[in-house]
Amino acid sequence: MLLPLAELSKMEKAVVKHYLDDRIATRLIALGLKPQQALRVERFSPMGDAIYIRYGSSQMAVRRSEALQVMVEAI
Amino acid sequence: MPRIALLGNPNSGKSTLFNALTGLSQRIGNFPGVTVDKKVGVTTIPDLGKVELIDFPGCYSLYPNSRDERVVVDTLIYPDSAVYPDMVIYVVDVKHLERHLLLATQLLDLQIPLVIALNMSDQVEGLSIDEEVLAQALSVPVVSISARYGEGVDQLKRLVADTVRADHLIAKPFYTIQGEELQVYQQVALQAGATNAYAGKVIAHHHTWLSHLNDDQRSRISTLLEQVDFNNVAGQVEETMTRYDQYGAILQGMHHQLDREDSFTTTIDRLITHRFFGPVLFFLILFLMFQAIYSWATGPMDWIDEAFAQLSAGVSAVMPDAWYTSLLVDGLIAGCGGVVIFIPQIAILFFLVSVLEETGYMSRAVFMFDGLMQKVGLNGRSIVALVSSGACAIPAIMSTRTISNERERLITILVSPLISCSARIPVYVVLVAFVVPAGKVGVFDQQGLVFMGLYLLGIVAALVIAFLLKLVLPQREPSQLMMELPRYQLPSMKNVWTTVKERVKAFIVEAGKVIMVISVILWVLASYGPAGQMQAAEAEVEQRVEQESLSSEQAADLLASKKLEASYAGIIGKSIEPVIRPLGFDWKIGIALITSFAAREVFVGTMATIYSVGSTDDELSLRDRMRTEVREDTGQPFYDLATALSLLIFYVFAMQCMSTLAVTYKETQSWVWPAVQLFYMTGLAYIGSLCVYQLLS
Repeated sequence: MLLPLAELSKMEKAVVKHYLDDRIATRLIALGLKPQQALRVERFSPMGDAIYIRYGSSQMAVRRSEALQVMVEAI
Repeated sequence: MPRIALLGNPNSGKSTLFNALTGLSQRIGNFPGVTVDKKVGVTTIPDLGKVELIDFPGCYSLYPNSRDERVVVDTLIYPDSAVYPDMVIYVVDVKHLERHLLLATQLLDLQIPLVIALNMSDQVEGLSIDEEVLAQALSVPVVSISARYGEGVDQLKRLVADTVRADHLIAKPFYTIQGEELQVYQQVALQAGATNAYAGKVIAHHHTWLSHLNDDQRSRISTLLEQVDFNNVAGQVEETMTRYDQYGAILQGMHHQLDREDSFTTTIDRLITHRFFGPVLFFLILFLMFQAIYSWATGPMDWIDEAFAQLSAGVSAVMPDAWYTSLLVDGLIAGCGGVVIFIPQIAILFFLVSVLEETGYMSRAVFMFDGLMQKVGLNGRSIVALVSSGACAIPAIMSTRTISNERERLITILVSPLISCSARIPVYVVLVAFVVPAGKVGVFDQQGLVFMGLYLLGIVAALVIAFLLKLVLPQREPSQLMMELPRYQLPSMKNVWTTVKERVKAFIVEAGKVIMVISVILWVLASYGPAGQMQAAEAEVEQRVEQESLSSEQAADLLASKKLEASYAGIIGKSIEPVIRPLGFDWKIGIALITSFAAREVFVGTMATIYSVGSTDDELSLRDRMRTEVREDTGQPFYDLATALSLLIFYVFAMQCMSTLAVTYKETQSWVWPAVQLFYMTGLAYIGSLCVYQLLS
């Protein structure tokens, strides 16, 4: 079942499937969040507008609006 | 001199290596045509001699996402560009090898001579096998280093010497371009004067903005690409994925555990980015920072004041009583003092911010405040600038360099001076007593509350103006977050020290020039008047000294006061009186407003001079003197609630700091923005004062 990354809950794990926006795709892939990459949502920012994601050996911050463009499969 | 470029992802430790290699020889400039820092230094390589080392902005791939990254592509795609390197030292954080290799493989395909430095090797074991496997697979020299501790650097230098002296390329292409595409890219390469097909591909993706292409070339390339249904972004994604797959296979062969999560970072982040405690901790840290700047800087600043005062006195004593002595002492030396006095605050702020940045904490702050800041057109990092402005806007404005989005950076620079800085405090102290008597309201000190109110006013104004600017200023690049949160690490004090030195030097040299010039101009205005008026003033004072038997101190005060009145500054002050009378001000305040354009705290000194209490150096005697001032027409006290509050509000909003304007000029590389600051802040001050005075009187 595919859903946007932005809709995952805290501590949920998922695998990246594809992207809905090209600009976001290039940036995320260059950062290592590529298709088939496993990730976990660590937490949200105080106002809920940004998401802290852990993947591989790294962690990153993305906006909710950016995460809406990434389709993942929960695991 | 051979030129070597340092490339790598952000957070790879590239800058640490750069600092280690170039030490004191480094200078900061700009890449041609853009406001992107270019750090250049010189290092010595055994058997090769001196080489020029250029530290490029951190970059994830040749498909750039920001102004910084574009500079890398723009330079490397065009062999005739000003800083095209003879070879590249590619720095990798070995803990993130997989991600960091992407750009390296792209550089290989551009056929640029390369040496790969696996940095932070002190943090992993079992690396010597890895080096060989990687070197073999990519046909590139690979060496493990630890830039922070200086390990492996000699070996790196040896490999660099070998590579520069080799007269043929050792590397083999990495990514293969297939069939039809190959032809297209070769043709694009031809059009653009590039060397190989991959360069052609990169150019194809970016031909709309690459700086070395002319319009003719651009349109011809566009036509070529249309013919084959070129898909810009899909092409980038496909290439990137292929590269990952290709070297993923190589990495499997390395005896080095990938994907190792750093539990230290994860644990700490549970507190640092906690939904509630995160911001609390942040404000605590900023509050401490602010206090530190204030308390640590006071000592050195007093010392600097003292030193310059003694210098002035010394020079005055030794030189004859002529105009050039005054120019030297009151113009140049005072101007110089006006520049040097900022150094403690700048140094301390950058020390603290740099330490926080080096540990990795700043990116967490950006994560937490991005949403809030975006609403008013600011960036998560802007909050550091805003809080620092509570001490002094000058280092705060300088710190906005780390904000990559042009508009967010500009708005931060434009509104920071609205935050009440430490220089406004003497003015507040003098005037608050006229607004509200000492006393308590419940458990709170009345005057303290007013003080806080003034600070709050500045903060609210900054946020509102930021919001308005967001509506008005165009956004030229998409705003994005998508940011790596690096692992926590101990700050490298060498890096911190280098940053502090660079910033202080940049301030003294660039802003210093502007400040000196304006200082001298203001000195001229305040010391000279139309022919005859100065002498008339002196004569008048002489008479009064006799008639009223004034002491020598009183005489000196009176003389200073009358001469100021007769000077050009005095004339300007008197001439603006009609304009400022609706604010409740008179020409005496007018003169003070003119002179304190240099710096806010000058207001107190000028008022003291005008009211002939110039020789006493404290705010309290000025305040006492001001209490006795009455309005000519009504005989009522001049400094009543309305006037005092009006003047206070004026000072909350007004741009009265030439040093701020100088730094804004330097950071935006244009006189437009300082002019905008001056204009809107003066306007805001005028309107605010007007409203307050008219409402209360």
